[in-house]
Amino acid sequence: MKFDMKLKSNVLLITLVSFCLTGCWDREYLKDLHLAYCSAIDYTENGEIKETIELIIPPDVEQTATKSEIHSSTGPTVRNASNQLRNRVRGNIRFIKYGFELMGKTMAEQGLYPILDVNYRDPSNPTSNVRLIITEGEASQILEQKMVGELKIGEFLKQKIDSLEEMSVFPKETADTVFRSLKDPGHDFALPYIDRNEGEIIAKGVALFHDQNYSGMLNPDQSIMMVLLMGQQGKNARFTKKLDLGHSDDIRNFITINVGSKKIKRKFKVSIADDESIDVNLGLELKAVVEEFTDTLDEKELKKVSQELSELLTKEAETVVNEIQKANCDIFGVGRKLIAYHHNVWSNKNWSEDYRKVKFHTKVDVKIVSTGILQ
Amino acid sequence: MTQKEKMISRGQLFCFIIQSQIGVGILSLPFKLSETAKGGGALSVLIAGIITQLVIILLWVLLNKFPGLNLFSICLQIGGPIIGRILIIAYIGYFVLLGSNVMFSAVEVLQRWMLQTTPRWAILALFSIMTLYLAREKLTVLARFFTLATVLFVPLILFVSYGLTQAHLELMLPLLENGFWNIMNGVKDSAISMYGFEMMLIVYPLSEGTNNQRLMTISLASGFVTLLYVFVVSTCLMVFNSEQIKLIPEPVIYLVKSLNFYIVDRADILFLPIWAITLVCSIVSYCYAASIGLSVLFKRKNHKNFTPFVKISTFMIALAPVTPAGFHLFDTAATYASYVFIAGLSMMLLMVSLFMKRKAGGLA
Amino acid sequence: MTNQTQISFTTVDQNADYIEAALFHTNDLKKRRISFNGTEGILFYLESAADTELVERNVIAPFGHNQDTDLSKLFTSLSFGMETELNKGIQGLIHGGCLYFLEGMSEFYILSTPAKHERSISEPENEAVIRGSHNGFIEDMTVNLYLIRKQIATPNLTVRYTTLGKIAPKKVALVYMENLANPELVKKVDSRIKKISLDAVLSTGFIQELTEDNSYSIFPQHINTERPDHTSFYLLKGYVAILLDGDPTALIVPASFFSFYQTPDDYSNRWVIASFVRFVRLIGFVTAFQLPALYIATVSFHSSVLPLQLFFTIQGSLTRIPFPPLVEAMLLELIFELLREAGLRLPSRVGQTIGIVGGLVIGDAIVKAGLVSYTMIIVVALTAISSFLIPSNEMSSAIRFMRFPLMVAASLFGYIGISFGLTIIFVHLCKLESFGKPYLTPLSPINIQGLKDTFLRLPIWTIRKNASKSGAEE
Repeated sequence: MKFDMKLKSNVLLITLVSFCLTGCWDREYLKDLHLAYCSAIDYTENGEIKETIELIIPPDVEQTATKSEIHSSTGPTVRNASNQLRNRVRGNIRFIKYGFELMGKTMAEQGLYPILDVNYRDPSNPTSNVRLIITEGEASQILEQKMVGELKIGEFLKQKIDSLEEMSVFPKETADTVFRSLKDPGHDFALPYIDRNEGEIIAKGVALFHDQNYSGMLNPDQSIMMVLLMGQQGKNARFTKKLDLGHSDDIRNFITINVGSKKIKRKFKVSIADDESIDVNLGLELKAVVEEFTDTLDEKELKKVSQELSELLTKEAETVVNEIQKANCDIFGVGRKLIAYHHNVWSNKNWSEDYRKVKFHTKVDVKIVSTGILQ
Repeated sequence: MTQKEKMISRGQLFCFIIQSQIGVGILSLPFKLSETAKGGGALSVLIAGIITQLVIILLWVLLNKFPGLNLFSICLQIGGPIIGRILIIAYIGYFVLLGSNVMFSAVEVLQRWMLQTTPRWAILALFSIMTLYLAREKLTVLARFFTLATVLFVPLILFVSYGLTQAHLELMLPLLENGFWNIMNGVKDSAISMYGFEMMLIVYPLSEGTNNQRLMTISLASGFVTLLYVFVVSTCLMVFNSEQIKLIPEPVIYLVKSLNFYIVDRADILFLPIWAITLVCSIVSYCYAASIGLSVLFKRKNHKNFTPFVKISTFMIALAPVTPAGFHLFDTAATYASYVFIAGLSMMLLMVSLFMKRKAGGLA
Repeated sequence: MTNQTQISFTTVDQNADYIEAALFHTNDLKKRRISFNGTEGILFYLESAADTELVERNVIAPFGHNQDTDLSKLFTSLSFGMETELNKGIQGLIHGGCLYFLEGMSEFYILSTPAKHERSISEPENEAVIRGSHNGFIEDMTVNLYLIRKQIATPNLTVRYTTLGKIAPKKVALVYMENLANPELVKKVDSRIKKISLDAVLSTGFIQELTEDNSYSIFPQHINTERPDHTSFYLLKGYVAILLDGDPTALIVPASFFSFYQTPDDYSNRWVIASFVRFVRLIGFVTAFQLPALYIATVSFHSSVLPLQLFFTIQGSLTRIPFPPLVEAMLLELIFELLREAGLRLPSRVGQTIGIVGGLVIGDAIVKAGLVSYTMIIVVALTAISSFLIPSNEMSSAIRFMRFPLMVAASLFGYIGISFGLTIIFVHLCKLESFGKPYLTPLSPINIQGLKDTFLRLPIWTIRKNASKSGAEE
């Protein structure tokens, strides 16, 4: 018992001493943090990295909105540029609640990995909810806009990306999934592609990547098709198509369908012929809801419209797949299938070149299942 | 301590073994396996589990030869006062080494992920105090705490299971990509994370149940650990591809970090403190074993007063390596020590005891 | 002092002198000379201990009209005894008896006429239940035993008396069920109580502290209750109750951690609801000692776990606060403890004013003054309320106390510090035993049957299938 007491007082002593000694090892008070919510990375003409960030400033008075500041600096690496920024502004810039990273197209063409490395390496940087966006022009220009209407640029981008993901325009990619695809020889990725046009920020579609380099793009309509073909699906996925119904006024020939609200059946099969040529069967069964159509649809017409839509969308899917193949972007993970199930074939292939030789057989079936509350 | 030490129940024995087995190894196991076995990592773990079971049976045979005696008393029985003592000292050294290795690796992980600027001695001291406080206690208290800590596996497993939402089976395939021999190589790596079952050498005489029941319990515990490892390893291999996993030394934490829980960001920050408690259990069991060894060596009934010495030595040893080369040397030393002590020496003891038995039988 | 076994003298006056001297001529000692059949006699009683009216009516009055009968027949309405040792007589006096000495008789009479100034049996204020019996123990042990016997009418209910205190002795009763309680436990309790050597045992608190397994622990190791039904509930589970004369509290051993989370109300509620309430209490337990620590660790180490919106909200409320979170929390906790203590000692009406001044005025002003943030107020208030959820006052204090070291640990090492603190606390709890029963039963060592009535309150038929010696033995 005596020993017990001695030990306890020792423990107490150690605790007290360590209490006094610990100045601030890892402590980092929340109130002292300056949060960078967005950053934009570009290359300058002389090959340095230009980093622009949106800094969120907590309000002085409670229950008022936060403010933001935009700053930029340059340096040979991203971390160095961040440090330069720290020299310039309020000091303790932290990326712990980081939401977006915008990258200019010119930079994306040269490869993403060197830029992203710091995100993955530093344990305090989040990756799970970080979105990567490619911009057509300089990425920093978008951030420099600072406000879009009432919203800070970061909030605006978040809402934009979220809603466009819901509309199936952008595939759901985060820094983490991109990391996986970056390192996967048999799988590539596509990122949201935006641009600034007369003060407005518009979605231009998706940017396709091969390995870590930008290699092509798709427009928003095509990207919806791509997202569906990838097997992803937002809450909505709308197509507006012109049908050949023989109406004289053009508007009556258009139909808008939504295929995202119902479950989509996807077929994806990679088969190898004897000569090691690769065939990919990619089929979609879409259940469409008619959202806008100026005519009534009876059962017979419904079948006809479905038929026609299937043909149109199959054609569109084919062009999308062509574009993707042209960009050498293995977005569907054909290579991964080969690695997993046909490993011998895979080892004989040079995928950067052989991917273009893959024969895709795309087929989209549309079935109208609902016409809204009108017949 | 005059009264006889209480026995631990079979449930407690189960928890004791799994808590001693699950340590810091599993955090980096998928990484190590990806270098050798690649997709077949889970198979390696399974095979390692089976080998562990075999070793458990052999140790059990040894323990049954000397009912009611623990490893150290067996050493004395077999080796006599001099050789026996040397053996005991060797085993104490082994337990201290492994204890400090686990503690060292735990601190390494914590420093890398959470407490980057906190000096190593501070975290080591923290662990030492925690473990000292527990390792001084009677086995029953240890068993009670271990049972309690077993509850923590629920959130840990849930965290990892959530990773299955991002898993793709294809990333693990083909299973036999690197061939059979590399899978066997992986077995060697997985075996390191299996250590801890040798605690049965200490606690077996102090647990309830018939011999078969106890063997069953220990096997079940080890089987549970193996399955858990298989699950964790295959989840990691299904979430990360082989190129990626080569860059991530602790894929399990990275996996948890990359999950999005909506209410709480950065699940790894929650994961590690919980994990730290299971690590405490591992360290405690080694320290407990070493102090029991000392108490047998000095013929004392109570191990309480020896624990601080054990703790101080583990603290010093864990503080010693400073360079990556030092870390590596330390790890290798621990690995080989385990081979020698668990497999080698125990087998030798078994052989000698069989031989002795026969000799004794011949005489009679 | 005088001889311990002084035999009564033959003359009345000698006896009277002896007794008066033994009681140091205390002024409340009443002496009446009453002769019987011509023989001189003296009656003694302590007016502060004896029921004077009873003495008047049943002792003195009979002398008036029944002078010729046998003396013993005079007192038939009272319980009485014959005694020769004067010191026993003095003991009798102290306990409210009358002594009657008769000239020439070697023995004297002790008549039992104790005064009963007791409060009526009422519901204990701090253990009120919504449903169930509304009576409570009082300061008289016999009444308390009566209350228990009323609940458990069986010959198996056994009472063992011990007297404690060298200068001011008091009766202590051990109550248990002969067929249910573990004999070893009874023996252990008995021996520990007998080991107590104090001059005076003023309250059960003394017994509690002197029979504990670990006096350094902050956790209570005896269940204490003023409710007979609660006591009987435990007796029927094989526990042992310790009653002290003059104290309305029963100590029940062995206690376990979870017994402090149970109330008699749990068993009068529907089981699903009772389970829900238990669950709420469990959450209360966790928040009561972890929430401030978690908050401190979060805002000073791991801000990144906060979701973005919450991050900005908390950051906004913290910007103007000059102190680090630990100081902020300590300040507020201290204010809270001040208010609690102030409210506790004051009459309820003033107490309400304290509540208003403390809660509303100080709470609001301290934020406006920029000393403490709103979020910290929320955290501390939640913690305070959660700590009141714990039915046992002692456990509630223990938990409230425990959060301070946890807060310090959290501010040193963040979440790792918290898990360090929790490990220490739980190791301590694992170590703790109450009369040989592990404190954390039935959680560890695990006992499935016991768990049914721990975190949940499953239907009674599943819990109490076998009321054998399960309870106390573990």
